[in-house]
Amino acid sequence: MKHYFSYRHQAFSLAINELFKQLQQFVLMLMTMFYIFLPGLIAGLFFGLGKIVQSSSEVVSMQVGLAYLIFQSLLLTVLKPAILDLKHRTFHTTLLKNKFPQILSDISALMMCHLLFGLSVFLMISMGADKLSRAPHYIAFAFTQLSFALVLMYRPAAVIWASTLAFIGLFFFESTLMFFLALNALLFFSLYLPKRLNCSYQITITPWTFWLSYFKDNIWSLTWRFTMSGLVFWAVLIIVTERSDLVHWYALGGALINQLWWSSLFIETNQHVRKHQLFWRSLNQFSQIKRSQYVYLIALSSIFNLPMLCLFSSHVSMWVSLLITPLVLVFCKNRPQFMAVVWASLAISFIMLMVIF
Amino acid sequence: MIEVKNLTKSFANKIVFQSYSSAFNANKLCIEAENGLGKTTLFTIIAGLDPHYSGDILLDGEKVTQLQNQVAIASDKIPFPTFLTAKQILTLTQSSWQCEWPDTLCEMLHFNQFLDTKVGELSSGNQKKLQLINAMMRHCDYLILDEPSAALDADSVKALLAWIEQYQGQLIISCHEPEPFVEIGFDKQPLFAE
Repeated sequence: MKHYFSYRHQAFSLAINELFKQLQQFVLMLMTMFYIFLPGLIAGLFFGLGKIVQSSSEVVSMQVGLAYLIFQSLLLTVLKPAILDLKHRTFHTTLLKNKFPQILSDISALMMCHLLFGLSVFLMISMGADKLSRAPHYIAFAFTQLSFALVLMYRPAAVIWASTLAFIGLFFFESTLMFFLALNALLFFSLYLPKRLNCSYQITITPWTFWLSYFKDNIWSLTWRFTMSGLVFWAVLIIVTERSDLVHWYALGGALINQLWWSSLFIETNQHVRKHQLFWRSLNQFSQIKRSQYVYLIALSSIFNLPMLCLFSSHVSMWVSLLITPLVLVFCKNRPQFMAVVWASLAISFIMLMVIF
Repeated sequence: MIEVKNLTKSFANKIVFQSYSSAFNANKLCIEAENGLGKTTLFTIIAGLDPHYSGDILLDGEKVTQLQNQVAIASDKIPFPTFLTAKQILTLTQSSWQCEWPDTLCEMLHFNQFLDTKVGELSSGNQKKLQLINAMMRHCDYLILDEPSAALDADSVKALLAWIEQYQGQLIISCHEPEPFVEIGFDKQPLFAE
C-alpha cells in the first residue's frame, strides 16, 4: 500500500510540473503584464470571500458564492488529470485490492490543489470561532466548495447540472445559508441526472459544418471560455457600478482578456488541423478547412465580446479591440506557440494608443 | 504508369530520399522494403498529400499539378477525425469528389452495420476497411493501398482480392505478406534498386 501512495505522489508531482511547463509562457506573460495588479488580485479574492461572509445584500453574497464555485470548477477541471492520474487509472486497479487507497490518494491530491478552499479555511481561522458562529452560511459555503470539488472529480456532469440550476435559484432564495444548503441538495439530486444528453442527430459534414462537430466533441474548450467570458463580464459590471468614471479602462481590459481566451482556441484547433492535414489534403479541402477555422474563431471571439461592447462602448478603442483575434491569427498562422506574446504586444499597443489619443 | 524523378525529401535532420528516381510500370504492383525506409512517405507524395519535397512525379509521362485529383490512397498515415462517424467520413469524400455512395463496397466488406459508429470506436480491422472503402469509392485511375490486408479478417481479404482483380486502373500496394496479391497477378518491385 505504501508503494501505491508513493507512486501516486510521484505521478501527481510529475503531472503538475508538466502542466506548469505547458502554462509557463502563459503565466509568465500574465505575471509580466499584470504584476503590479497581482497583490490587488489576491486581495480581490479575499474581498470576494468577504462579500460572502458579510454583505449589504444577500443576493450579492449568493452571486459571489456561485461565481467562486464556478471558478473553482474551471481551475480543478484543468488539474483533474493530474489529481486523479487519469492516464494510468486502469493501472491502479492492477495494484489494489479495493478502491479505498485510490480514493484516499485522490482526495489528498485534490486538497493539495484546491487553493480557493485553502483561502476559505485561512479566512475561517482568521475569523475565529466567535465570528464564525455568527456566519454559519460561510461554513455552508466552504462545505459546498468541498462537495463541488469532490463531485467534479467523479461525476462532472452533476456539477454542471447543479451550477446551471443554481442560477435559477438566485431568483428564489432570500437567505444565503438556505441557498448553499439547497445547492448541496441540488448537487446530490444532480448525481441521478444523465451524464450526457444523447443527440443522435448527425449533420452532414462539410469543411464549414465540421467545426460544429469538433466543438460538440470538445465541448469543454468552449465551456471554460464561455464561463470565463461570463465571469469577466460580471466582474467588469460590478466594478463599473462602483467606478463609472473608469468604465472605458475596465471594459477595454475585460475585452482584451476575453480576446485572449478566444484567440487561444487557435492553438487547440490548429493542433487538430495539423494532425489531420493529410486527410484534408486527400479531400482537396485543406485550404477550406483552414479558412473555416479562422472564420469560426473570429466569430466566436466577436460574439462573446459583443455584450461588453454593446454595454460599455463609450470609446472607439473598444470596437477596434475586436481586431485583436484576427491579428493574432494572422501573426501566429505558422507559430501558434507565440500566441500569448503576440496577444500581449497587441494589447499593450491598444492601451498605448488609447492613452495617446 | 507512375514515374518518380529526382525526388528529394527529408524530415528535420533525416534524409528519406536523395535524388531518388524510379518508374512503376506494372498495372498491379507491390512495393517491397523494410520498415521505415520511406514507402508510406513516397505514397503520400505520389498521392499529392505532401507538397514539401523537390523533384517530379509523372503520371503517364505527364507532370500533374493536382495529383490528389487522380490518385486515391488508403493508409494508416492518414488518420480520420475520431469523433466523426464512418458515414460522415464517406459522405464527406462523396461530396468532395462527387462520387457515388459506396453501397457495393460496404456490402462486400460487411461494413454497413458500422456506418453509424464513430471512427474512434471502430476496431483496427474496421478502421482499415473504412480507409479502403474511402479510397476505392473514388474510382480513380491510380490507387495506392498501404498495407491493405493488415488487420483484415480472412473473408474481407478474399473480398478485397476479388475487387482488385476487376479493378482497371494502376494499383500500387505495400505489403509484408504479399503472397495472396502475387497469386492474383501482382508484380513485386523493391523500393530501392539493388
